[in-house]
Amino acid sequence: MNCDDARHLIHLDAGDDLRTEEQTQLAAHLELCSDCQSYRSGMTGAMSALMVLRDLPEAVSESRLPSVWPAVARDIRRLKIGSEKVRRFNLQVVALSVCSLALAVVTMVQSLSSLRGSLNQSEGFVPAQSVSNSAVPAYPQDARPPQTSTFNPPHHPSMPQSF
Amino acid sequence: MLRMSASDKGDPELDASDFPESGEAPSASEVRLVHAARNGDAEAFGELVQRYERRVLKVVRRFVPELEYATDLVQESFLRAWERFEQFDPSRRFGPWLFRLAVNLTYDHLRKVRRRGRWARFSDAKEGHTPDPTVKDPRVDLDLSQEVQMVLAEVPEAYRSVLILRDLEGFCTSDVAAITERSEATIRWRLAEARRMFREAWERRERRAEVQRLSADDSGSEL
Repeated sequence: MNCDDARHLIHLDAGDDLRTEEQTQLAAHLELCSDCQSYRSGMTGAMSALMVLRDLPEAVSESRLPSVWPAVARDIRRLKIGSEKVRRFNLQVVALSVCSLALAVVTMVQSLSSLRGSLNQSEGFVPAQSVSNSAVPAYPQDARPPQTSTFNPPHHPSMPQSF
Repeated sequence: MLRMSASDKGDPELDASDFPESGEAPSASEVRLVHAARNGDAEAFGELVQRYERRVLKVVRRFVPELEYATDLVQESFLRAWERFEQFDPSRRFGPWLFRLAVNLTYDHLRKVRRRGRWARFSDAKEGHTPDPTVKDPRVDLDLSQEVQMVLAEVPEAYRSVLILRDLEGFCTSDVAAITERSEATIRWRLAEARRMFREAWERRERRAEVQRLSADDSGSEL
């Protein structure tokens, strides 16, 4: 182990963070290296200065402070109310959209059927269903039923008599 | 549950309820509380808050000494924990997750403060009290602590946080790893580097103090 490795271990050793095998390695190096021994004592001094902060009275007097829970609980209630409002608003938006869509569909269907009715009236056409259900004939009794048209091509001299 | 270092266990000021149990696994009651709180039980969450608040405040005050700001940050940390409970993995421990939220919020706060160009004093020294010769002057320790705090501030943030969590707050390296979301090997390496940096900064400060003392002696002898 060289001194750089040993110093890395010294830094860890300052806070009791060495594993057993590392402790053994470091101890073996320190026995032989006086520079690292003095480095280690310097490290101990710096760490004891740092420990002044750990033992500060201000840092441990928080036990006398009131709990933050009432304030947190108030915020949670506010959050719940807020999210409930948002949820209700979203539901209202969805309901309104569905209603509008339904209204639009109904209006469209109505306008389509009225349009079809007016078209049928203008052509004098009565739907077949209404004919079968009512006694009113589809066309006047005395009128001739419509003839089915047959194709009678005009005779032409160049055309054969039969196909 | 967060484990204690030997130094924490011996601290009479720390209440045992701050550390409900040591070891890897959380206590059964805590698992129950966390489960209930995750399902929206505010009462259970309140119990968790009361269990952890002092410890969280203590950690936050290591970074933000002003009590008012620190309390606000603690409050915000718990609120965030409540809001993000569905993101918490129940197979893991609640403590490190909560501390991670608190430390991250604290970092955000410090960044904001830094952006505003302010700097936080370590502690508010009480002035105007009558000195009692039988009582050790607390300002002696305060001065030293302020100096140590200033030296600590010279250590880069990523290293300083590891140093604070491990050496000042006594979290074990696996907990520090969980809080900072780094591997344990990284934390060990950072810890060694942080101590080296602190030591170097401390020695620089001692040298500066020595030079100032010598120059003050020189100017005194000239008079």
